[in-house]
Amino acid sequence: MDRFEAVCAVCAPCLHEGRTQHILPRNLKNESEVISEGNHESSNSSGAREQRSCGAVRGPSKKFRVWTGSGHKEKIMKLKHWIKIAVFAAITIGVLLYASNLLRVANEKDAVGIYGFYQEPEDSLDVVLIGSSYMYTYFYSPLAYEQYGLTSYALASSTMTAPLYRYAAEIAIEKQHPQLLVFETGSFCYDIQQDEVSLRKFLDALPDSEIRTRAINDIVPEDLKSSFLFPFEKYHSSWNRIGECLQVAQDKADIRGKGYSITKNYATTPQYISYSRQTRKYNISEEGFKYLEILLDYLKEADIDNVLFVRFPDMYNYDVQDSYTKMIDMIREAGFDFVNLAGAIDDIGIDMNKDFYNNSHLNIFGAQKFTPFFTDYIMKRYDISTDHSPETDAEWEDCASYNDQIIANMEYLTENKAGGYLYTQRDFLADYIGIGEAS
Amino acid sequence: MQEFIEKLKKLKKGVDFEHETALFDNGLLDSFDVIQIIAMLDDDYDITVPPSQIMPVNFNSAQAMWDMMKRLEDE
Amino acid sequence: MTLTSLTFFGFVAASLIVYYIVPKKWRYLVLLAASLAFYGIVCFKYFPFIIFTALSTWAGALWLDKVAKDRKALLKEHKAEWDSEQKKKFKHSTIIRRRWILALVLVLNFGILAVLKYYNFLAEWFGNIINMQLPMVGLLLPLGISFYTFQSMGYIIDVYWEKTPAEKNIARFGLFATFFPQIIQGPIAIYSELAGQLYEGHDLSYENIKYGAQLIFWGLFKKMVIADRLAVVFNTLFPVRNSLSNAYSLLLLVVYMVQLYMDFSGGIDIARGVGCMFGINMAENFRRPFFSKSISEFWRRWHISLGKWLKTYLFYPMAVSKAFLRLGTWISKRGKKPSEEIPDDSIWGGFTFAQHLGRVLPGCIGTLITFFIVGMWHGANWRYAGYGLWNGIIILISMILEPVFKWLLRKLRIRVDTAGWRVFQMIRTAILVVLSVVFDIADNLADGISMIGKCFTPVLGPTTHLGTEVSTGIEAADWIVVITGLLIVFAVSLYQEKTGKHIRESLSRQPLWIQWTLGIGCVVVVAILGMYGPGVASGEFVYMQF
Repeated sequence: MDRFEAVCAVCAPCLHEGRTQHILPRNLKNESEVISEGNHESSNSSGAREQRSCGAVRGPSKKFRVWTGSGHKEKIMKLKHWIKIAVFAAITIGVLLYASNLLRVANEKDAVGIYGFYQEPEDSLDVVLIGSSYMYTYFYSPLAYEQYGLTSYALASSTMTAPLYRYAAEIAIEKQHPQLLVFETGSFCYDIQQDEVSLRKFLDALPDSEIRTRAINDIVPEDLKSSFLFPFEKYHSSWNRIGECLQVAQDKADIRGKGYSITKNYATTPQYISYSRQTRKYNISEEGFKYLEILLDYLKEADIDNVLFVRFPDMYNYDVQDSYTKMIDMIREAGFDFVNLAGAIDDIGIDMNKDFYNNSHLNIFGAQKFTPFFTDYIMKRYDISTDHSPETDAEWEDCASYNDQIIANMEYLTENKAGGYLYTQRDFLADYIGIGEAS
Repeated sequence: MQEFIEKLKKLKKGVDFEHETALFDNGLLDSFDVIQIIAMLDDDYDITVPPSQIMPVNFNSAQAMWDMMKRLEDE
Repeated sequence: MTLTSLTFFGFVAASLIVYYIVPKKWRYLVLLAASLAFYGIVCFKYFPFIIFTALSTWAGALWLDKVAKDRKALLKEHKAEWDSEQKKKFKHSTIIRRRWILALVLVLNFGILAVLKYYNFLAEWFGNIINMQLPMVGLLLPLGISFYTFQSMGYIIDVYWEKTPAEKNIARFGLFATFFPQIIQGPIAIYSELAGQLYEGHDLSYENIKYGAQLIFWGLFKKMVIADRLAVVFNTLFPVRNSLSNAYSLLLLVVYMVQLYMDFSGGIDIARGVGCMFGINMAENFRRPFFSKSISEFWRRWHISLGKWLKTYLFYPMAVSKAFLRLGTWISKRGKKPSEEIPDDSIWGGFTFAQHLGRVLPGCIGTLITFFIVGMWHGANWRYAGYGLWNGIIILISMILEPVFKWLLRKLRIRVDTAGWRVFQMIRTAILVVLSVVFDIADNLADGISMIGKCFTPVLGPTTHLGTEVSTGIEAADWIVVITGLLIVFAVSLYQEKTGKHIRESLSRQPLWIQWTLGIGCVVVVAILGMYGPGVASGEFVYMQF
């Protein structure tokens, strides 16, 4: 073995992955004698074979030093590489955005229901109802249209809290310029208005928009803001609820395909419970008043003629506090209306043993009584015109055509206390009774 | 040199010291073996191997070890 | 700014942009600035420590070189005049002087490390001995002190040994001493391997960016998808570790080990990926350690840079020192002189017991001491010393009894060149490694022994002796993710082990759509399945009725 080969054994490190070059002693050329030089083949950092220069020198102290040079050109960045990177990044971001949208489901029903609101043609709704679950379980919009020709939508989410009212109002007015806005007053009793889950059920169901950002910056507590503004941070972990998320995506696709939602955010549970008399307080909290004032101030400046605040009836017996009267005064002073329907149970014709699916929600039987009652009330009180464009009427005629089927289905299920969970549009249209599926 | 290889063979059985050129890199010699070789160099050849010389390059083949010995003797 | 945070990657991106804009010969300055900025941002309070280490090492190395140079010059000058006696004396005095310089730098820097890391531990231990309550100090550790101290000390020892010339340029050396991707978890670099790459400005290479990104995402996958998930399991089971049933006790140990491996090697991958993007190839720190067939081999594949450092700068100098060599010879001569040639296949492999012991004992003692240091390097606690000694003693026993085992295997006619035997060795090693985890987890010796005992009689049952159900902390879907992830890691490791090549080579030969699908898939998997962000409990969104 001659000296050169012995030296190249040093380049054995080159043969292992990971070494591109060794340090070249700076006094190499000056003080040392070069014993041998040459080329040999070894693997570079990515494992490809290449030519390398190497050599052996003997320093003045007769100590053996070896050196190798890299001797190869790494692939320098060219335009085509930049393009590759850009396209890769674009596709990746696209996939992540899609995933983000798909997984951003705080509550299935709300996600679909609010999506449906945004699909409604602009300025086609006469009435928008804003509030929590009262709005979408008590009032069945297609039924109101069938009986009175009124177009309406419940822009409502489960346990919607008061701070959201002002922004829901702005969305409703901007998109629909309705003739009447209806708010329910129960939300003002809630103690923790900025409850994260309640906020998410509404805010995360909104499409990304200027108003959503404004609402977040206004309402959401500081430490949560970033996960609202960048929901992926929170929802990426919803991957294990992918089934639900895909269901929601499908529901949205159905609405998009048809052009509008059929059941307009109506939801109900098919069961009934017997009357149980429980008492609770009706007390407007400090925060409640704060957000009521914000809402009233906004409404005074906004482009809306009629606003009605409603106290909905339910099974509870309420111990009403003074704050309640104060709230009513505030509303009236602002020039808006209030009606208490808690005492109108008999007028509405509600059967306490058949019409509720739980303490505070009417079922299909109750909804069928409440809807005409309430529609009649507001149409008499306000001069609501039911003139619509032909397209709007066509849409609503179509929606109303499903009423019989849906009601029959739900009455059947409710009679048999099918119960279980909250039924929505995709559940209503299945074939439960055997008279053929409503399509 | 041949004598040296015989000693190596006695030290570590079953290794082809005549032809192998990647003794250390291929794991045929481990650190304990290197220590014993150094002990042998100290005992039999009176050569002190400083720790700075304990590198794969110096132990990968019998020839490399021999070269190292020659260098250390010269100093 | 941890290795998995957005801030870190933002920092890296900014550094990369500046690096490649600046002219090549100044690029190392960008790295230096970035490293100093990084340290300042993350650990400003302790900034002076790393600066001190860098400066003292740089100056000490230059001084060492100067003495050596002067010695050569003077020797040359007086070549004719002095006789060999004078030359020897002069040489000796310079050696002594260099030794003092080296000792000064080592003592100062290791001293800082010792005080900061081990003062409380030693004070408590010493206080117990002399029965006094010594004052404790509330000391936090500077970021990466164990890594950068070792790295710089390795350099100055190399200069002392004249293996490498001292670096005159303070900026260049400063970069080596503070290079930011290594500062958090290593690897500990050897000067001759890293320095050239650091100082040379690299071209903006597509390959480097691509491979760097691949490494980074592979590391993120291991850390965020697998390790962080297992961390939840560990945090759930650890508080009840003493009342777990046998199967869950074993699970706790295995989970800890796997999490540690994925976390550490993932972090290293991220650091190396960042280095790669700058055109710098950092040392490997893990080489598929669970394919090891012995504990010795394990430490050549796990935390490689630490093992290498200790071997080069502690183990070898100890084991080939005159004292140790003399000891070995002395022991060899103790036993009876054999009257005839001992056959090679005798029980001690062709030697008497004394001869055999004499041959292996220097190495064994060195190993024991080295592993004690390995243990203590991890932390100031007797449990870490125990951990180190566990490894050291196993190696020691295996070295001493090696010929006996070989003899036994021959007698039992067990073939050792079969795949089956190799697999047996790997499993055996893995078991020993998993058991060593007990040192980290158990509170005291008795608990530790009981934990190990439980592992050997795994009984599935209620998860605690009290019969109460303890969940593992993550759901079934998460376990599927973990197991699938580990299978993927295993498959890649197997490929690399069998072929000795990186999987990235095979990848770059695949059609573009496959490469891109895997690439995009990896990014998406990390983004979605990574354990980050607020509350990952899925049961959070319930249909709440008002």
